[in-house]
Amino acid sequence: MGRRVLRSAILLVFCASALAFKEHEFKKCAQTSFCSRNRNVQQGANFEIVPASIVLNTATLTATLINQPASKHLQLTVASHADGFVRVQVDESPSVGRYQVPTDVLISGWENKKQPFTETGRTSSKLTLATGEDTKVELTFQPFTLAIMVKGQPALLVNSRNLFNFEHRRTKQDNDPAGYWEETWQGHTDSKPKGPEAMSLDLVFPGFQHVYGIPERATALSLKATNGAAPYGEPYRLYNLDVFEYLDDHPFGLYGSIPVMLAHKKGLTVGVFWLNAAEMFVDVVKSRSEVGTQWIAESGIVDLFVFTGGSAPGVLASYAKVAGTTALPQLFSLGYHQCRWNYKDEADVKAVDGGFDSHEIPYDVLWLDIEHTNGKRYLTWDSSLFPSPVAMQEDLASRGRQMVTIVDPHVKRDHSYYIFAEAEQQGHYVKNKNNNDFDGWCWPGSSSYLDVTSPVVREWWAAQFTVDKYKGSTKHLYIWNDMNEPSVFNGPEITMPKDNLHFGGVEHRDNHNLYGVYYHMGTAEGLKLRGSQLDPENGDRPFVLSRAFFSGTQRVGPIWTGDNAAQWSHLKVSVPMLLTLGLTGLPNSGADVGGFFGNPDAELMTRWYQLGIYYPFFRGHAHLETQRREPWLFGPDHTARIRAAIRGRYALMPYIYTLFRFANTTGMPILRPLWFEFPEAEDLFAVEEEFMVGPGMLVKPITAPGVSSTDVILPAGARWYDAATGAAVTAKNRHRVQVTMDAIPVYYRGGHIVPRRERPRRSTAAQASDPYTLVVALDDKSEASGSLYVDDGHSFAFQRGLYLHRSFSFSNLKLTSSVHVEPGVPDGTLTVPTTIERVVFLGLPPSRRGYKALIGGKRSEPLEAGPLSMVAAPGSEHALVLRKPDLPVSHDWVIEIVTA
Amino acid sequence: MMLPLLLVAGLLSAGHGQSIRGLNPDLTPHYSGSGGTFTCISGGGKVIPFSRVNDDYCDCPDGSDEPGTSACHNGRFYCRNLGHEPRLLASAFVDDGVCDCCDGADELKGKCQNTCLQASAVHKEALKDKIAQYEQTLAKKAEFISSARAFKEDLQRKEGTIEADIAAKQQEVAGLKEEVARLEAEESARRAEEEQQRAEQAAAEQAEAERAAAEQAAAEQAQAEGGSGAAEQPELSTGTEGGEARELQEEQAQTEERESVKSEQQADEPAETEEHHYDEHVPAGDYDRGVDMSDEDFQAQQQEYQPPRPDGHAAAAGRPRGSPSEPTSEWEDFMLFYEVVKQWARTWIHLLSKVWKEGIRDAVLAHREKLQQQMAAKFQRDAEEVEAMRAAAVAALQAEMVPPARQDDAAAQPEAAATVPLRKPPRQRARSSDTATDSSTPLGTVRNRLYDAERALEQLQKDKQDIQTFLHIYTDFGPGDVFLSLANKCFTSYQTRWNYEVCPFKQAVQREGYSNSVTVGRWYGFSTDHKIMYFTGGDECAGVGPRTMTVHMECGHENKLSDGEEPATCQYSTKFATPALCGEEQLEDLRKQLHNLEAFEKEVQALIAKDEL
Repeated sequence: MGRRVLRSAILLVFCASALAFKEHEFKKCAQTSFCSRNRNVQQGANFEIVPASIVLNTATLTATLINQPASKHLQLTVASHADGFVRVQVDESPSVGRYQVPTDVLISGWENKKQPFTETGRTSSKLTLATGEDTKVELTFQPFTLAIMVKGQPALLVNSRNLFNFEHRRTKQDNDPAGYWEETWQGHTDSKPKGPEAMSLDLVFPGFQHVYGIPERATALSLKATNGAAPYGEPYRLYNLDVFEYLDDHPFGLYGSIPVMLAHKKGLTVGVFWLNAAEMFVDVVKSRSEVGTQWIAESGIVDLFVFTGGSAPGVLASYAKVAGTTALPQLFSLGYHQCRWNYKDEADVKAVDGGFDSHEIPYDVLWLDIEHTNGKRYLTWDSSLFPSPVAMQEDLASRGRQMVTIVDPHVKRDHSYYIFAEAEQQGHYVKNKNNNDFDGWCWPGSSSYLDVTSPVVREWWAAQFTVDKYKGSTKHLYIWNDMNEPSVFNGPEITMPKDNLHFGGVEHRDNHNLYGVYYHMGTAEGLKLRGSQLDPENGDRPFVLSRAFFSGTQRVGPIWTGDNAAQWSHLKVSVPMLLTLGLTGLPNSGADVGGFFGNPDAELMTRWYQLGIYYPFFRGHAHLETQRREPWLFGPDHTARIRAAIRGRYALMPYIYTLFRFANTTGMPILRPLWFEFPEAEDLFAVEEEFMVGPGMLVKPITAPGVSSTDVILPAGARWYDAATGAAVTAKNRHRVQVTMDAIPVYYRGGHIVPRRERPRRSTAAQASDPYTLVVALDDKSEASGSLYVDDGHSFAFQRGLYLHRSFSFSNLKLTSSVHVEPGVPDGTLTVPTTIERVVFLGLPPSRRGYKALIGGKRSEPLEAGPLSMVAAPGSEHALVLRKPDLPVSHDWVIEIVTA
Repeated sequence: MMLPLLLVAGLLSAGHGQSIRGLNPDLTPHYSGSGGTFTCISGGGKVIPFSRVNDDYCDCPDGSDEPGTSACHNGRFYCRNLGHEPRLLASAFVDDGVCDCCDGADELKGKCQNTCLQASAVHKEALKDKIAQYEQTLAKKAEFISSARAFKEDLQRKEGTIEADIAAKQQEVAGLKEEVARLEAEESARRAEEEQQRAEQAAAEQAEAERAAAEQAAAEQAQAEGGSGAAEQPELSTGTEGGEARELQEEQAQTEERESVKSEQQADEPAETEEHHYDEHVPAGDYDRGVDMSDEDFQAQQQEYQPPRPDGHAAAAGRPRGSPSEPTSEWEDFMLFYEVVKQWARTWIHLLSKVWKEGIRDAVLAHREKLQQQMAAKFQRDAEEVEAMRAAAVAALQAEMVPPARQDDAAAQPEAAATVPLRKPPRQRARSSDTATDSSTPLGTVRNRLYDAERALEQLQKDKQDIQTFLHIYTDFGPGDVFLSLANKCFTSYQTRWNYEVCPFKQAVQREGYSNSVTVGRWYGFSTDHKIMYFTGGDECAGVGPRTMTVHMECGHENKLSDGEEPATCQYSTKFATPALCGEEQLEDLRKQLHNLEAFEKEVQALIAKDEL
């Protein structure tokens, strides 16, 4: 869902109508006082460390940093943490109470796990410290610079280009430059009661060519330099905004922000995270010897985490220690979601639900957009369209399906609306600069916005989601949070004025980028509360989709990439967008399949499904003013292809759920750029045309019409198997393959075992007791490994150890099933009656006499040539298949392969 | 219908297939198990041990080895559903925890209840209802066709003589006009004479009085005012005189025109309203008037508004319109204007402040609801009136057909006849001792005759246009002209944001909120199968071109427009249900289904009785 053209003449009085992305509606750096004051301005030489002020207290160094011309004192703190990062903070000294991101945005537990520094050198101009196994920190005093070395290589330089700056708090002077104390943009005046307080960080990655991260924007995976031709002459922006009809190749920031960047080169990955929720601009410039970045934030403090793990998984694991890992989603939420603005009424819902069954296409969740409410009063129903919502949800649930309704943070100003009245009476709204309840325009017209930055408001908000409070809801109803940037139709840049006031007197400018994650959190807490009320033992995990996000959103729920368009370019850019989110700790994400705006033709729709089944969050969605596009509306041939694609998703569910388990325990992404798996292959560092699903599968989406053949990169150092036929394919950089409309190229990677479920059930719930197939794809050493994670799929019981995690490994012609052991995670205690019905071996050396399998040391069965998948085309019998070993998945066992 | 075949097959083979779960009785021969093997039914004829049938592992590419499990992605499970319809279920739905077969055979024993007999009973009742409704629907369709035929026949009958009739009537009108002119000239000559006499007398009296007064005042006034006052006086006097005469003439002319317009309006109000409607592509005004239209307003509007008649739309072209019904002074005009502005401003201020306070959706919704109620009531009334008029017209037509001799008498045509009682007697005006339409005077009599003749001529011209329109321009009204019944009707579909109004053979309009009304297409025609109505060349849409509307039609119990989408920018689509698209075959099909079901029930009952024995 998203903004649409507001045709009403009355609304036009208050907000400009938007027909497409309009650059002029949004600020550029030069139009933003704090950015233009700092961009490419060399003030860094003015900052120096007072050597005598340096105090080293085991793992923490403090020093005074002087801003020479102003003679202002700043406090520099450098701390080494045991979880693989160095934290660098700069604040005014003494403190003037500049805003710091509240601790509940991150997780706790890491703060005091520190790692001592050892002083390894000190001169009058610099100090060198070592920490951990391989990390060094070098401080130069005048001008102040800081260098971090990992594995003996320089990884990060701070202020090496003298672009560092820190604007101290001051009192107003008559001759202050324009923009210090007030700024006007398109009729909106930002009163700046605290004056200028921006900071500029000069971060250089020496010896690197590629940097990644700082979502969200529709742009390349390997970030382009921002000193190029338009639109790449603008810095990347991090300011959560409701951007109408965004473009597919643009540095402009979209709905969410994660101020995390990774730099990767052969042999080293380094990550940085500036914990700051204010508006931020990031410039990237590239030279042969380095990537230079300048980060400019409007307010707050410098709070920089430098992840020194050395590899991408190491960096992500360390980041996860700070910001948390991905919440383990309910299994149903990994199924297919069918959404539209709007499924009109109960009859429509019934017809669409019935359409999936009659076309034998699986799906799990049906979504209702804003029109289901009574006049955009969220948590209510339009009773003429949805007279019996409970019965409707129960009916869906009888076939194992769920429903999602939209709930947005703007509250219609209507005293007869219980949410509005109660929140107003309790003072739960964001205030304007005059400390009155802020009144902005959104879907319902005049609205107020819950101040979810307050824990009290979040608690109140969460309580609205219990089944007794949310009338017409059932335990099968989950939530979608849209417009939580927050979107304010008549506000500056379609959001809230920066001088609005939050809980604790915090200005909106300080915590703007947190609004979305806090709202998401409050809603998810609500569903958690509901779940624990309905079942104190095994309450449901929440499912709440959000559009806005920040660091920490991964602990709450999935996000989607907002209002994209039914264009090939948007299909294409969805891959680097999702890969970037995975690299910044938010892998549970997806793009609207089909594209939100406009009408996809059958080819685009089919190609989008063929890619979309690999999106961690897989939802089809469409704008109000588009043709209906349920999967069976594109003619029988395309229906068959889309059916095969969606069934393919369900077949992969055991693998995907297992990948989510790893995301939950280790912070690893689901979708991964090729370089993540092949970090030494320099020619892969910018590849975004294909991607890995976990470590074991490679996907090459088709992102243009009329394609009959395509080049696939199959990285060297691995064996690859065509996932449709099981045929081995030689690794090479340009592998020309023929493509039909039926499928996109997908490969299994040798060395990995992928668990599947081959029965095309109507929903994930209906798969619950189905047997498994294991695809064992062998590497050059005829080895492979993988695992399977199973739990009840919906509750928190897994946290009490009620899960099953099996490890499969194949070596010396033996396939062994054993308990998967993960350090720091309690072993699972769950057993399930499910069995293995099929084992598919790819890449066994040819044997004239053939093979047989000794199953559990008891019986022997021949391996027969057969299709890799039961749904594969006839004749594609490149696999050796073990039929019905019927081994229980919960047990230890061995299957030995011998020549017959 | 493969249903009965399956049913019978199911019954016959019930005994054999029972040992193999989910087996389609038609396929039983494949599962004899002879030689201990099973040959996959299609796809290369793979042979497997018979023990692998239904062993929960898929061996056959066509899924035929697993009729009773979920192992094959492409398998089919046969639900016997005794007492109801058998069903071939996707294997994926077998043992998935959801009861798909009414006999529950697709899930483990005990999981599902057998609901086949209930399902069958429900099905039977539904079928019966459907048949009854379908019969009514077909009756409606027959009525569409017969009234279309009557309408066309009437036009055809007139077609032969229409030119002659018009010529004759034109001659009659011309003659009467001359007569009127002659009598008027006489009348005005007479009046002028009277006036002259009266004026002379008055002038003499006035001159006398003036002279006396002037003599008294002349000395002072002549000095103070100079010559102008004196010069002005006679001028004014003559001005008044001449003005009065002119005014009188205008008065007469206006009266005539007024009467004529008045009568026209009365006679042709529906057409007038329609014309306004179609010409300007705005609704009956209600959308433009803001939220506060009172019930009185609405009723007043209702009285003005009458539904279109099959012959009404072509009637009004080129007629004089909009003469004021009362002469008003500029001041009155201004005050009226002021009132309108004030009312308008009040409405908008009220609306804006309400919106400001409560948000726009409320206002829109409330207004929409009100409009919907009003429109619904209006359409109800319209429908009744149309029905009444249609009945009257048919009755009149029938009456007309009995004495064919009356055909030359234009006034006897139904519509013209209907206008007669609506004619008000001419208004008497105090200032004018006019005898304009007083039938006791010769002039009055002739004028009345002229009026009647003009009405009759207009009717003839309208008939001519109808003949042109319905017999020559639009020839495609579907089989049996069944869609002619939709001419001059409009249908509205109310959607969340927008309402769509479709007027077949005219245009389609989209509306939003208070003021936005867009013509989304003008009549283009039917698809060849008469299942789609196309409206093209609507209002221009920036960057796209003219808007279009596609109306997908299907058989329905009554004429009803539904849905309303914009599947592509400025390309709209709606759905229209109409009895016109229903056919006998479908009814036959339903009857056959019922018959089969009843026969099958008997068989099942007999079978159950035997089983129980």
